[in-house]
Amino acid sequence: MGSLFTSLLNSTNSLQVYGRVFSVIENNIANANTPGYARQDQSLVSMPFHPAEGVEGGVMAGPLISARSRYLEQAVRNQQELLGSAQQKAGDLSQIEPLFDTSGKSGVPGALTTFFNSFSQLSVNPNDPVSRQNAIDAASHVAAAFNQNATGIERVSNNLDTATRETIANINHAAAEIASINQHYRSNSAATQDAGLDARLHAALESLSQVVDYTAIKASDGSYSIYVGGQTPLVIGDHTFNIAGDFSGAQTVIRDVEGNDITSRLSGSGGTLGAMLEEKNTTLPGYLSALNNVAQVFADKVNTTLAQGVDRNGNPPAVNLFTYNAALGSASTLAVTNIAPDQIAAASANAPGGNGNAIAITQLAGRPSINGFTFTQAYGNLGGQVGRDVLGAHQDLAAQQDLVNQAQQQRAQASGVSLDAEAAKLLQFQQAYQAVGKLVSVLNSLTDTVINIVR
Amino acid sequence: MLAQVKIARGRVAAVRAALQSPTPEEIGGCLPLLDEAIGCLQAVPTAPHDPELAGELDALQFELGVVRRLIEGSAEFYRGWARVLATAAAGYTPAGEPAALTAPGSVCMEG
Repeated sequence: MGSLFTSLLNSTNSLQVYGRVFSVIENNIANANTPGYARQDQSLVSMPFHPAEGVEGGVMAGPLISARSRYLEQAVRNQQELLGSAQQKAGDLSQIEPLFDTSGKSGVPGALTTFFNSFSQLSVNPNDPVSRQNAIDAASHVAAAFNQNATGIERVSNNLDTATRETIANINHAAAEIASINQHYRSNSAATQDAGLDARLHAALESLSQVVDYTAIKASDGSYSIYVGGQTPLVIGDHTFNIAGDFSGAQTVIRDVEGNDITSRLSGSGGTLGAMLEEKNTTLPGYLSALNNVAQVFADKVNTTLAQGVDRNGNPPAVNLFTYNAALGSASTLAVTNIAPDQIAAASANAPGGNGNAIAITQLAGRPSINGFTFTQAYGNLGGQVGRDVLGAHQDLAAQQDLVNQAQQQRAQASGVSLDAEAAKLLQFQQAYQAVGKLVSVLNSLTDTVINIVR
Repeated sequence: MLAQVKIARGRVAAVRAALQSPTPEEIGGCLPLLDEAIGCLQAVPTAPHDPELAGELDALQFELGVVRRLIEGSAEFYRGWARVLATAAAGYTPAGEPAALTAPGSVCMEG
């Protein structure tokens, strides 16, 4: 009878164990679309079986096994970081691109053409008041075009400050969420088996990876420590160490909780914050500097040339045509002085009343004045640089969207596999590397072919 | 010429799609597609003046850039995954590198 009771008890236990298995499966199905959720498996442990000694065997429930792999999660998060960065760059640079019209018909190139044409007209009738006024008007248009370009870049830069503030707030918010989950893990060791909590944690980690580059280190109690830029603590256990933005200077500075400057660790490192810092502190100032240089050299050359001539009354010009403040930005402050039409020095000093100086101004259009380039070419080079940067950013974005998808697919394929069973496939993976090597070689050949055709 | 470039671009786009889910088999299957793409471009003249053809070549170049990134991403993933598997199966060397795997031998006797 004892044996029968034991068998019945075993059967009941087994049913309970399988009941738990079904409950785990049900939970997996119910959470199939829950962000951050990873499948769980109920492990089964066999009980000793010695009938002669009254040990009747059976099964008992072992620990819940998560299909989550830290390597696979990290692979997805790495790609999410780069996607966040690519999205930010593509969005911001797309706002800059329309500011640079390289068709030559409008914007700075169009205004420069009109300016040099106006002096060409002035050379035909050097003492005509209307032609003189037209030259001043054309100069105003050049100044306005440079102003518009510079303020456009500055507007994008200011928008970046606003976006950076929001991003920092989001990072600190995510840090608080992760610290709160860590607190659950620390206060209750059974929480490590809670699939819902695990899903919340990994959804927060994945969302954080889109905005900032960080390293996540898992502790033995299940909590995660987060270090932004690789070494600045953001979350340790249930404590957060908020970062802050300093926008008081021309460059955005990110500070850790102790006020240390950690900008260099984050700039360009990935995530939207890395992209914002790179654009705000490097890319946009680079564009603005090149634009300022074109505006300043243009204004100086024109002013210098005019200063060598004489005005309508045969006197050296009393005022320059252009003025600017280099400290505040030559392009944004470029303006025409209150010069009167009669004060335009259209004539050469040795031929008052003539058109020698007007012709000299016209000739500036074709003269290499900035690193071997004319004003229009130098501006075109800057526009070309912006265009290449925008194209590169869009290509990065397209590739990153595919790469995130690829990493997610790889995670789905590899999650929960038996590492022992997979290890047996290592040979197959080695063959895959050889295939990749061959693929890269063929791809190089194809790319070279296309480049040679396009040339 | 334009049709050939479009076919080449189609082959590269197929590689791009395949690499979204890059199993070792898929990677191997990409080679013939790229070879076909090269074949399609053999007769295309250099510096084409046709704007449509030039646009198609630009788009092809763009696709190739994305494919390159996908291949690099895939290779990086499998390199790391192989390390994970190797250490799981064979442990680490004293230098901290994954230990070499020794494939189990088998003998088949008939008769």
